[in-house]
Amino acid sequence: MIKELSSFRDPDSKLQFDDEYYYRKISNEYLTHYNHFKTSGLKDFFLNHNYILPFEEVIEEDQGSDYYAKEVLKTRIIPFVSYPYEWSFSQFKIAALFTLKINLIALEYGMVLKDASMFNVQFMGSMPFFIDIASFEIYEKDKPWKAYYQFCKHFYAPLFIAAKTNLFLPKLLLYFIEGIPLKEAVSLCRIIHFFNIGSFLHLYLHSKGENKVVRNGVEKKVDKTQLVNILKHLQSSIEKLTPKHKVTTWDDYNQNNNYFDYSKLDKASIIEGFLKQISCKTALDIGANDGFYSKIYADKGIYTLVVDIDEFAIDRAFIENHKIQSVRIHPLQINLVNPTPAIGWNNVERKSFWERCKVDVIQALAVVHHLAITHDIPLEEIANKFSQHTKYLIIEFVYPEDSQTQILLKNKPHHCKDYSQLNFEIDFEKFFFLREKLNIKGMKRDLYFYERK
Amino acid sequence: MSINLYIDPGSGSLLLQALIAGIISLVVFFKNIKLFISNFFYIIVNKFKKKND
Repeated sequence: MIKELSSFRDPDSKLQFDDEYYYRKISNEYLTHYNHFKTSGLKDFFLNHNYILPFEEVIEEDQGSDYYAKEVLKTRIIPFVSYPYEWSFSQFKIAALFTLKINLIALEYGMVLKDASMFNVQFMGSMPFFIDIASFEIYEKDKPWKAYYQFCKHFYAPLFIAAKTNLFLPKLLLYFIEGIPLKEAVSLCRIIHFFNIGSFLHLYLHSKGENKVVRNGVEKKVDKTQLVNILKHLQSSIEKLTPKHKVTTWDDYNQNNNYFDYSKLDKASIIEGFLKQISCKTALDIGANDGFYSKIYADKGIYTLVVDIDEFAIDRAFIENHKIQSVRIHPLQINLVNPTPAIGWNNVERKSFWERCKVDVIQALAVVHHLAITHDIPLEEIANKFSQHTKYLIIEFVYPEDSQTQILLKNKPHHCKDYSQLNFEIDFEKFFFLREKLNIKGMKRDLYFYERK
Repeated sequence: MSINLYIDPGSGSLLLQALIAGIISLVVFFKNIKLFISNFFYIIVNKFKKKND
């Protein structure tokens, strides 16, 4: 069993895992709260609504480890752990609203969230769920909400600055792993942004309490109705946050490209044909835009990571799949040229994108020419990287004569020599066997179906 | 060295939470009054319309 290195912060539960399951060891100090969680009906409510993953209690056999536990909760490994700095705006917003929603429900059952970490929400496809059962504690009458500050740093501040200033600002969480300090968030805004009760209270006024000396024992009362009011007010403030839509490079790519309609259909049927030959459970669609071709995978029951650099395209993919409650399409906004690094204590607390990503099939449609020409990444390096993370590869080669490639080559004429179909095949066939190669009707583009050597 | 390094930044938040909760309670109170008044007029206007119909 392997220790989950991100769970060291919580004294009440420690996480370990093997190939199939996570094991959450509950501390003896937390047992009273856990028993209330079970007996109050909160556990059943959450399970019935899929707000938490099903788990079973197992007996800890190996008590010789450094952590003794009476209760060990066993739950199935999830297909992919994603982090808030990889979520689109709507994904982040849904995670924030979900945290508030489960806290309001917990209050009805006499419990409350003792922490409101953004890392406690994960996605199964496009649907959120809560992973840390040990975050619920018995509600104490008139106690202020301990996690209010954390919620604002982890959720409200990143969402607010994203909506009001720049959509990329939640990426600051890569630096501020414990949430964006409210003063920093305030400094990024203009005064006009606080002419609103929500932002004024939860961000501006709240930031004034940051780093203030508080004498022991001076803790004001907040009764349950007031606490519910705060949570509901946070809900309505977050619901109102919407970013201004800017036109981005890839935003409307799926509607606006050099494909004929019949070429699009042909491309989809070729992919379907390739997938019929193999059995796979997980896929990574690189440069997927709004996930048009990812649907083919999801329809076959394959859990698909839909990855693109474009914030708006990924946001659209998320909204669309969240609406239909898809548990197979998992959109993520990632720049493949500079993917998420490993961060946190000892650089192991939160893993890098590639460290988390082992899939059965990678799909890279109309991406390689961008990597090779615009970003100067050698074809051999691309092939090598893909081969480390997948068994099968479905990849589109765009001919140098294609109108889109011609535009790229105009800016990088030195690639005219090395970007060729022959070089592509030589480099990729160092790592993969060719299973099939087909031309897309009416296009100067080929689809290759590779299997790792 | 700054004294701020030794302060739990969340402790000030607990204190402010009571103030924020108070302000939100006021906001909710006035919103409820507004809702009550608008509902009241909505009912009267509807009754008036029905009579005219």
